[in-house]
Amino acid sequence: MDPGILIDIQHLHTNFYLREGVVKAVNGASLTIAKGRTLGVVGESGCGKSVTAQSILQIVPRPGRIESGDILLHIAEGDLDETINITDLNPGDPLMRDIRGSRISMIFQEPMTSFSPVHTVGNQLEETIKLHQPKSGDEAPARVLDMLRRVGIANPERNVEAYPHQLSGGMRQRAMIAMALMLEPSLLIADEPTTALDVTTEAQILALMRDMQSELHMAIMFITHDLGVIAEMADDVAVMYLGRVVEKAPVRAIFHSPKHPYLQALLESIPRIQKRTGARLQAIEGVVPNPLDVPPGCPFHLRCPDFMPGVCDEVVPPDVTVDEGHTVACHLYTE
Amino acid sequence: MTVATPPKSAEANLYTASQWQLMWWRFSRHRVAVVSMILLVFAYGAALFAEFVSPHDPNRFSSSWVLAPPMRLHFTRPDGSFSLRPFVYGLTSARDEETLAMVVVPDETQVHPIRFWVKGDPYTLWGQFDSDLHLFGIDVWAEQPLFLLGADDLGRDLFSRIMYGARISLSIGLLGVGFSLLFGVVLGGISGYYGGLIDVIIQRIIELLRSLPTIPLWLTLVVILPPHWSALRVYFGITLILSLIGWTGMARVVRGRFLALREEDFIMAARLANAPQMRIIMRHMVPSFTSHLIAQMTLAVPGMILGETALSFLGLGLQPPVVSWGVLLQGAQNLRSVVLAPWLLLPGLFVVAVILAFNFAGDGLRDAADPYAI
Amino acid sequence: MWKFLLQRLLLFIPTFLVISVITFVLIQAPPGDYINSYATQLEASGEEASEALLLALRKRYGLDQPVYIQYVKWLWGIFTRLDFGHSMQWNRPVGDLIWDRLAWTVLISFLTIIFTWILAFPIGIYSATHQYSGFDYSFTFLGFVGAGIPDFLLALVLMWLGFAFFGLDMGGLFSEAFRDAPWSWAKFVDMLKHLWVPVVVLSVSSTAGLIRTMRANLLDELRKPYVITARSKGMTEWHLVLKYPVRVALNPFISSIAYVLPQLVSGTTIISIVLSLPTTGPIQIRSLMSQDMYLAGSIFLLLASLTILGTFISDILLAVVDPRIRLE
Ligand SMILES: Nc1ncnc2c1ncn2[C@@H]1O[C@H](COP(=O)(O)OP(=O)(O)OP(=O)(O)O)[C@@H](O)[C@H]1O
Ligand code: SF4
Ligand SMILES: [Mg+2]
Repeated sequence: MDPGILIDIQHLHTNFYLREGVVKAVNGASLTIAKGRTLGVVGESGCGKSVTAQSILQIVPRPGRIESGDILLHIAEGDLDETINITDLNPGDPLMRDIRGSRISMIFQEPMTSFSPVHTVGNQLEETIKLHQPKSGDEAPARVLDMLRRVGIANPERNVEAYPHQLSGGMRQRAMIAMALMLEPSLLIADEPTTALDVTTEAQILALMRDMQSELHMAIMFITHDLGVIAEMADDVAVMYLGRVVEKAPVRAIFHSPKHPYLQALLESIPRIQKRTGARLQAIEGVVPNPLDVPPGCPFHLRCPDFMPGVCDEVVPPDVTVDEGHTVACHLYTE
Repeated sequence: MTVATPPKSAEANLYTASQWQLMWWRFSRHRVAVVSMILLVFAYGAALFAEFVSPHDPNRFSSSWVLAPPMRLHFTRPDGSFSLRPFVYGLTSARDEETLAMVVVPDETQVHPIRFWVKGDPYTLWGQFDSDLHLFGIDVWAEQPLFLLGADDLGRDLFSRIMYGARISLSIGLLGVGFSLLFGVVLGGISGYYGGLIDVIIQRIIELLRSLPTIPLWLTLVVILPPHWSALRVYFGITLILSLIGWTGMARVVRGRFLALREEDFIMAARLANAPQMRIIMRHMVPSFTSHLIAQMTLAVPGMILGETALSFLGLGLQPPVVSWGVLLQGAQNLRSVVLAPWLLLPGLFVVAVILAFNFAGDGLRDAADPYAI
Repeated sequence: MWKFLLQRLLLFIPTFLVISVITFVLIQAPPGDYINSYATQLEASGEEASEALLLALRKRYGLDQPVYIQYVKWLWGIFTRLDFGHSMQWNRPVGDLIWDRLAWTVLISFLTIIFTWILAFPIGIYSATHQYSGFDYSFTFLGFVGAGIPDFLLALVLMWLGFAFFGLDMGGLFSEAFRDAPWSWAKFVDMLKHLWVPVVVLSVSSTAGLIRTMRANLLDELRKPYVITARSKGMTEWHLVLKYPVRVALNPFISSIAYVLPQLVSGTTIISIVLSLPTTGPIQIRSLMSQDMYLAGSIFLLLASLTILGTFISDILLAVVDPRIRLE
């Protein structure tokens, strides 16, 4: 495995088994996250971004289950150099619990509901330390205060005692970030961390994430609908459609030479001026097919302007490398 | 914002029809609820036609049959021959060899087949139609009783009395819920629609009423009813008293739905169009929560039935000669008579069956009305 | 927090007054008064009830005064001397008659709530965390059945079964031997042997209700994002369930005091008749039947105050447990 790679996801399938049928939320997605870099993940609502993230942590809620595929986590720390296949572990495996919160941690869209309403912020932050370093004992409170200070929470001595509902939205998300970074993980998964915030607060939180990244040298998997935020935050980008990753490239290539018809349509649908600010991915004609009933062949063929009958609706397009670090899954580029 | 015109009625019908169909479909998948519903239809049918369904006049008493036990249905005669038509043995009095008390025992020499559609005690159906036709009975009805569930301490047929009692007990359930609905929709509607101080006051009243212990309250209220009142008036009085607590639950549902609906666009639109307020309530708000109300009503019936049963059982509700399930259970208050004649507890079984059926059916209806609520 | 409690306390006083007015009106509402029924009683037993005697009696009990004066006097007596008036049927102060009985009502209700909690808590948690398992289904079904059986019927059936099959008398709170004996360890044990019957009978339906509430709430909480957060921090599943959702689902448990208590007081009243328990139930019914108004009214007033006190206590506990309320 390439030493610069932290996470390598290959052909991941995660399904939800409902009474109405099987929802193929993630349907053969492959992507990689490089150490210390930010991977932006974009795609329309329901395309499986969150479920991919949950799969990495093995916290897919029931009735969901990882069906097949590999999620390779590369750990290189001092002398230690090993690769763990997360899909080989049980959700309840002690090793998996070890990884959660210490090597990979996650922040969510709703900082309010993501904290327990009846425990203090300090209690919930300290818990992260105690779970992974039971012997930390007396130093835990001091570390919590220190981390709160680093994420820019004013008056941390008072705010550790606060309950979530007493903080403002921005403060809560800062506290959430503090909790996630407490053990200096090598990957932070941020699932639409700023969607619930106003524009000014959003800018502050994004700046904070960049600062913390350069301080701690961690990788970030940044999930969003917002191409403007992608342009601002991401080093690399993965575009998802109906449970698959249809295009992966460095951020410049994504905006300057998009290859997949879906991505091209997305970018064209955004008026120029809006390109950097809050453009959402909804303006393409047609609707995303129901993931209960995934179409055969290319998942995008029902909406694709370049649809080739007999090919696109029969054969799943393989990943094709069009440039260094730039792959696309579309028959237009297959030989 | 454009001012919306109210939907055309054909469209509205289509919309509501499919809503009801959807609900019905969801309800019909709830098997226990469907079975309960069928059971309730039977129970109310029996109550409605109590005169016809019961083999006896509920007040026909006889000192010879005091506390006669339930009769067994037989299919094999003493001589061993089999008959598909069930029959019972006649009763006769005998002296218990040990206690020397007179007891009622089956007399195997008398065989009375049970027939459908037979002549029996004359009655006047609903105070209107004279008849002596009964759903089932025995040929010698004039001399011999048919005690499917035994006899009470005056030798009256318990089964017939339970059927007549069903009429009172089951109708009090519906009527009480009807009163509750009236109070609940009016007060809950006012509360939810106007909000503000009125809402606060009504909410406080509801809170207060709900925190009172019901039976002590009902008991205190029941003694207000003047003793010279006719049975019918007492019946209505008790029903009203029962619904005095019952409306609070209904009002909560109504208010909650109103609050949720108040902000919705179509109400806003109607308001902007300056429709009279009462019409807004009747046309737009009421239909949209009918389904919730039906579920809530179904779940409220057991409370009413239980209330009547409890009050009458304690001797402060309906009084004999009126027959209700609670009145019948008065006979079971005395431990000694229950030990002697456990079948006196049987009216309780009917109470439990009906309550369970209402609870299951109501649960199914609630799920059907709102599949996302827990 | 203190402000909240003070608010609640201040609310308690007008509520009490409202109830006392209602009570008094209810007491006054039945046609005639105790003197009338007393006169009927005398006549029935062949004695003559002279007008003069009746008038004297009326005067003595203040029944000749306007209703509002009677009310104020009554209330004044309660506030200043805990004097609830005079029971005309027993010819004794109401207080003498009811304190013991009220204590039994309170004790039985209290024990039942504790017992209900002990049962409902683990069962509710297990049902929610094992949704749709056989266990969950059976308890959902049992819950329905439990909620459908009237408590007095259950008491009747228990009495009958105990007597018919085991020759036991399950009624009362003491055996014959201890009924009038002074308190002793043996008497206490004897009481426990009887006390479980009403407690079990009453807890059947309240437990069923509480399990349903607990299960529904917990299911709700288990879907909340903070559970996912806790999981993503690496907590074990049972640790997480106990620390977070169960803690939040405690709220409905505590509010259950507010609505279960009236139910229990109500149930105690009626099963006391069946089980012949010395609670307020039997005496209330007797006093209502003979229109012994001060006794009947005082019992209702006290029972209602008791359940409203329950609401108050549950509010306090809620504030203690839930910072969202406390730090309002
Ligand atoms: N708990 C669940 N139960 C059933 N289906 C689920 C569940 N979670 C996700 N899904 C299904 O999986 C698919 C992918 O969902 P996912 O949450 O990953 O989308 P997403 O890309 O994160 O969308 P969004 O941008 O709206 O967050 C959706 O079709 C959704 O219906
Ligand atoms: S594979 Fe075919 S349908 Fe799919 S994106 Fe490419 S051209 Fe369009
Ligand atoms: Mg998502």
